[in-house]
Amino acid sequence: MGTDTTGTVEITFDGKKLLVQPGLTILEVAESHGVRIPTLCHDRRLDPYASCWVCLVKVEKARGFVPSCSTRVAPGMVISTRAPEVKAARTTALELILSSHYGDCKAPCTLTCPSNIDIQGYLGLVANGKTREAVELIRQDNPMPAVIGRICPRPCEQKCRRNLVEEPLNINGIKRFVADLEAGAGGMSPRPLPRKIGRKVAIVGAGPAGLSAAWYLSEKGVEVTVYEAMEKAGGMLRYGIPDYRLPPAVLDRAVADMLSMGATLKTGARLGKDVTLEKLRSENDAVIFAIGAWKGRTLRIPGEDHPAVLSGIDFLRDVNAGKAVKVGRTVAIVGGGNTALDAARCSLRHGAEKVTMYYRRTREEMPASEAEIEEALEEGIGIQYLAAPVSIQADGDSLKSLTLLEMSLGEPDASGRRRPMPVEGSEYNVPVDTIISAVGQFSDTKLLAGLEGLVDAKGNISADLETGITAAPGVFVAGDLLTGTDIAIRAVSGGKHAARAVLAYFEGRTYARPKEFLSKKADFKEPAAADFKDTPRAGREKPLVLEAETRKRSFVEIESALSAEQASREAARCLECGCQDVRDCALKQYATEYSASARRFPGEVPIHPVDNSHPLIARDPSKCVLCGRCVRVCLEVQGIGVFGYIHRGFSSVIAPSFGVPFGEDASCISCGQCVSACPVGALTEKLPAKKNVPLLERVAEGTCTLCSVGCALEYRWHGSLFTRVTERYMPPNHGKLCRKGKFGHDFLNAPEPAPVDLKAARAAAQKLLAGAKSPLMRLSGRLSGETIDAFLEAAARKGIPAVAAGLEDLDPRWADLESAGVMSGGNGAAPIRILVGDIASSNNVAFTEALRQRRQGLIDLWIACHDDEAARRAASRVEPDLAGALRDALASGVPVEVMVSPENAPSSALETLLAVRSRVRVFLLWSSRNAGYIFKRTATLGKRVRKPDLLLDVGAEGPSNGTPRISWGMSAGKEELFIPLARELWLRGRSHPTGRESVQAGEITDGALRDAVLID
Amino acid sequence: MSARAEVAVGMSSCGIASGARGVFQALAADVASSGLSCDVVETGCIGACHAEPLVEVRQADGKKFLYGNVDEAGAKSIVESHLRDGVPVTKYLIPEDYAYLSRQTRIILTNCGVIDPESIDQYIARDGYAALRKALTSMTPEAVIEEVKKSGLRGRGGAGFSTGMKWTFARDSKSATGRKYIVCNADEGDPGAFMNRSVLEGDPHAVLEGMLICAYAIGATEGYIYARAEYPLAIKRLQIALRQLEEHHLVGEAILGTAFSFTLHIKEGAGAFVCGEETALMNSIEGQRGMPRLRPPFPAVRGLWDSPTNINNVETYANIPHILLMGSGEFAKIGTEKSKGTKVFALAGKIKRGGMVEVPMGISLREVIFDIGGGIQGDRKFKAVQMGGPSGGCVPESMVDLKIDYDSLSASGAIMGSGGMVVMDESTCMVDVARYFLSFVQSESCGKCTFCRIGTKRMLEILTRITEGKGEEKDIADLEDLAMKVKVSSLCGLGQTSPNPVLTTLRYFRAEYDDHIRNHRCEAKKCKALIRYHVTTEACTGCMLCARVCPTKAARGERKKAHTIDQDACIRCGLCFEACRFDAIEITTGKEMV
Repeated sequence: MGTDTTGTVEITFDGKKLLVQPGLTILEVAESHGVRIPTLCHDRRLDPYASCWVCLVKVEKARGFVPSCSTRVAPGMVISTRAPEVKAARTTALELILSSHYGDCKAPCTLTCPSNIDIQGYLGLVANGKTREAVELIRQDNPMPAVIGRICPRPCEQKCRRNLVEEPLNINGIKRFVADLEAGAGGMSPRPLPRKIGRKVAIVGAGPAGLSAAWYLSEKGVEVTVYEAMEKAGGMLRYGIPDYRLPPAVLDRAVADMLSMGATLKTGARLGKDVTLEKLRSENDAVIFAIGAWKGRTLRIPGEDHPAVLSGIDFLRDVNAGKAVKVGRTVAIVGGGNTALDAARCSLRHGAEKVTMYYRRTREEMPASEAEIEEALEEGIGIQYLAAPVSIQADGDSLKSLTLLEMSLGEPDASGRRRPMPVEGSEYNVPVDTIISAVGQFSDTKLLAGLEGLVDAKGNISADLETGITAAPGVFVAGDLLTGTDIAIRAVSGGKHAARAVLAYFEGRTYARPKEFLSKKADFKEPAAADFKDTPRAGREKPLVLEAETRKRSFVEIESALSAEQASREAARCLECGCQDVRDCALKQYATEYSASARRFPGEVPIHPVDNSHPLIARDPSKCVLCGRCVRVCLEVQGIGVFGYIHRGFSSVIAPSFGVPFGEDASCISCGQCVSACPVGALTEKLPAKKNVPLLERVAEGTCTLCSVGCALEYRWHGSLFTRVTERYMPPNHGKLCRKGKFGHDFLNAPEPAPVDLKAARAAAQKLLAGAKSPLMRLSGRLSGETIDAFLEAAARKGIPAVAAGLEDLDPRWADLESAGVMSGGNGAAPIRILVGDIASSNNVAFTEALRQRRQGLIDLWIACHDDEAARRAASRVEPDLAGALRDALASGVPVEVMVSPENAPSSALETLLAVRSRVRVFLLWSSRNAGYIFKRTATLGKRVRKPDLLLDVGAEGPSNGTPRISWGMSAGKEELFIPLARELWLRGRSHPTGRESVQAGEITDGALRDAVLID
Repeated sequence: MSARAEVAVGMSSCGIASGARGVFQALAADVASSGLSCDVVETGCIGACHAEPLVEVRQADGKKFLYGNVDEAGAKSIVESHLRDGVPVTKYLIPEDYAYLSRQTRIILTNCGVIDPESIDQYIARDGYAALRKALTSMTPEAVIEEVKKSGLRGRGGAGFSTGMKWTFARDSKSATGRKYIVCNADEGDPGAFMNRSVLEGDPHAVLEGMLICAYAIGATEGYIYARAEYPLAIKRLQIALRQLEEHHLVGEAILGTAFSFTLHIKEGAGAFVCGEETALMNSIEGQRGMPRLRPPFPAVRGLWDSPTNINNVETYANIPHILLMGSGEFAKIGTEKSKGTKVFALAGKIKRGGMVEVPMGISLREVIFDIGGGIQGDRKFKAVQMGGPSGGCVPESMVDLKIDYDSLSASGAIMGSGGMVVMDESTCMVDVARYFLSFVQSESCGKCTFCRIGTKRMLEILTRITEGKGEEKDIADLEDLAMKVKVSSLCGLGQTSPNPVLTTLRYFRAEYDDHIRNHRCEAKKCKALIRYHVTTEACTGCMLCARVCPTKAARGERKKAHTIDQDACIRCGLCFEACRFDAIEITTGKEMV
């Protein structure tokens, strides 16, 4: 077997002949030809391993499937990556892995919410003090947070796992809190109006569904007109919900918000009268009907057509519209839903003395929300359970009595509720003056009868329940009209999906709700109270509520918002059920792609406690897929080996050696490589904030400032919350980071300093400078090159001496070694690289890069002046002193390069290196990215200031020892004068990595820098 | 041998476990006290393990008498009657034409049970190290390999790859490190297999000599014997043998005055079954967790410490000296066209005469089980034979005339494996057998590959469900689907072969699976969840024995009155069934189960 003379091998890849480089793996060939092969255990920093078998492919004549990640191409190989049996086997691999992967992709609250609001996300943001971001996150799935935050019956809270600890999170209370906070602070953040896409949509009905659709369509540049039959927009929110639950002003603001993207509202426009179906269709590209369910069901008992027998929904509409309503002294409400309850409470507020609700079943089956039932009872409303109306007796204009029948509960019916059965001979009478019937509502579908394919013979709407798509092209429905009477957030969700369906329709696609794989603990074992026995107890924060006696005759809002402290405390109670890795998880992605099911191979699932012992990394072994990447990255890249496989068979786990808690493993250097290697959420970084929360992140590429290696990394943000750092796969670090790079950026979450009056600051600075005889500028090497240059120039202009902060006492001759020396020797042999001292600690990635290059045979690695286990594993020679090592290295005749950190080097190293500077190449490594640059520019100035009387600290946090100082920085301290420096001046801009090839990371061009220097 | 009479006691683990040490001491004491001119010596496994302890009287005139099931009383009578009076003791005597022994062809076991395994002199006296001398002094390495190739020897570890070819690869492989290694895989871990142990305990030098010849042939300078720590006697005897090699300068520099140098290490494994897989074994020698590596590269290219490495099984190496001495031509006359030589089997299970059996390749299962092994215990019906351990399969009674060679076995779905042969009778439930072997591999999986780690677990759960009467029709399809996928999507031999017991039982005993699922019936009456113990009122004498042995007091009744078994309390341990002397306890299953 061999390769042909051109150095390529011919293979057949998915039926195509390809010439590829020998030595490549099948996976590498696939990647370079744009074929996506799923893999969990492959990591480009590591040797092939083949543990997950998700990447399997078929190779002709091979014994079975082969793992593409570790099978190298051979001449004549016939490879199939797409055969159905390959797909089936990959699916099985995924399903087997899923069958032993115990975790929740998303929290139960979010999955329960009809609009799937990212509840964990906004709770986390509130806990971290990011209320603006929180309300915007809510708005992604709910454009009326202040409204829903008041009236939602909160199905999410019923599923909250805090129920297993003590009480559920006050989720909706926090929603209302952030919405009210926003309103109080001037309302929704201004946002640019979208560019019009040239499409027109009519929405009939300005209730929660119609307004939601209007928002999501106009946000995308659709020209929207909303037709509303009533005088004002809001639908059931306005005319069905009493003011004491939802003040009209709150609704008005929400309506205005939802129309603020350019939608037009036409009120008093009745379908069939003021606007016709034909006109709607002919003048628009699509129509959404969201006309609600406004017709009250009748009781179908004798006597109900009496004028003192009112329909619940009509009654509420009149109350909310401010019409004069009249109820008698004794009011009977028939029904057990929210309309019944609202009608009861409004009756009380309109002068009724005795209000009693009659409901066929028991409190357990009552559809009205628990909190409201409680409030109604507090207000003195009576509820008679197991009572069904039989007939109504009238005496002329007034009612006499209502006859009821006692019921008992039988077997559960189709809805799962127990069916009420009449108890024979149990009839009884109650005296009444007014009866309000609230036994259900339905839509007036007659209005839509003219549209073909929309309404069936029975008057039912025929449309897709998930999307609102109907058989009539361009016609969509949403809200109660689609779902039957339901809670407002369901209507909001309906509007959202209908809007998406319309947008897809414009693009010629048929919308379907996105199908994503979701791992659920409940698929295997529903979490139980025992799982939370160690969770600290913390009671639910409750808002202030008006006393029953005060409120029962008033329409003033009953409940107030949580206080800021309450909201923050409450949000912190969140148990973080959803996975931190939900957006990056490779397993979730592949499971979705392969339509894999977690329930295909049910059986035992390994459940381990979460290991939170490490200060920076959370470890959830129940989610581990045993790909071994963390084991190998720690050993192969870092040369350490914190993790290993323990036990055998199905019981195998990956854990720190001897199974100690992760945080107690003394060998871990917290480089976070295991986190970046983990393809699932088994190892995740703890957020540099108060609370962990998975969020959609904005990525800003950058260069690490925390040492002079200058690693390529990404800063991840959600709004103004800095979430984490991730690595980039390019020189100089090739996907590696160290503890500093990975976890050393918490300072980015420091509160933003208050803006400074630059004019006043400038005057103050001039004054301080004028009074100083011996000022000294101390510059931080963490700043960008442009910033440093600007300050050095200013210092030069003013004749102020400058130093690199922290390096004041370093021997200036080090500067002579900066980029010194040439490589002598040669003949193409791999150079000897000598690391001086504990480079693994000071500049870890320089050390791990050397490890990689040694593994690849690019260098021979020696370590001088430092001896520990890691050094002995990493280097081929460990020498006690540098001189001896250099002597041997130079004698070998191969090129020699030395990496040394002047800040940490042994004192003799400088002299030794100066002596050989013409024969070896020296790379200086520093503890911040541009320290070497500042040192070189300032060390030669010769002027040393022993006792400065004014410090000009630029980004530097050194001690002032009582000396007056002007400080430029990110947050104020105790200095005489503080001038904020924008974060960008740290994160972006040129770097001067010493001794390595220059790394550019964008240029600072904004005027903020010039302004910030102040001194001229 | 010597002109003095000798009494040899089989002192392998099997013999010792049966009391051979006591017998040995009794013999020695009796001989000493009677003042007879006779040596009492230890030897390895004589083979007829079913009749341990075994004692062989070797008269000064060369006549040999083998005694079986010898206890201390037997020892006394052997000394008093046979040694002193010259009258063999018929009570213990194993006849000369005992088929178990006379039907075997002993090449590898030629010294086992004959020589003292702790004596290199006895080994040398029987042509030991003559093959090594021949190779080193009169053959080139290539010629040695050629001879091995011509012999047709195939690896005895299970897969049956040509030994000569394997050696060629290792010899031809360029070493980046400048070193080559050989390894002897003595990590015998199959349930019911003990061939390697017996050879190591009975004739360790044969294995060492084979390794030395191999090292010479491929150009290796260092070797390892990887033996499991659970074989303390084998390790002890290997250590003694290695010391003797050093004393005789048969390892180290300039062996037998030639340029050949070789160092040998004994590495004790910690008992992980997967370490029998060659790449996991190498990892283990290197000090890492025993986890298989992907092949290619094969060990012959990159093995121990990145150097070309040849790995063979104990028995393969043990064959080598014989091949060199008898000549490849003679060797190749034994066996079939594609499977040459003999094979040692560990005959176990429901067989009348179990033990170590060496037979020519191509012999039929019937001959081994019925002619040599004497058929089934209690003359029950032969049901199946499980060959090759957890990687192997079950061959049904209908295939009893199957020839034992690599290819016929492979076609049957079983494998030669290292030579475990577990005989089963009608009281064996095949679903339960599959479950047992799968539970073995499941708990021994190294945990690396998805299919092996989780796939076998899910298969095991399905099988367990079936044996518990909770199986569904679709379980069979799931089981087959998973089995096929585990077979083709695992990294190493352990995973790839782990479904074999399930696949062969599904192939040959499908009806039993269906019976469990559809009728909740276990014909063999083995699956506890599917059986009930009842007292037959007519047969019960009210002796109360069952009540006395019942650990849960489920069996109860009054004296002289028929007893009953409380089904709720019964844990189906079967103690009552075994205790009853009147056959009054019956076991029901399926529809008859009340």
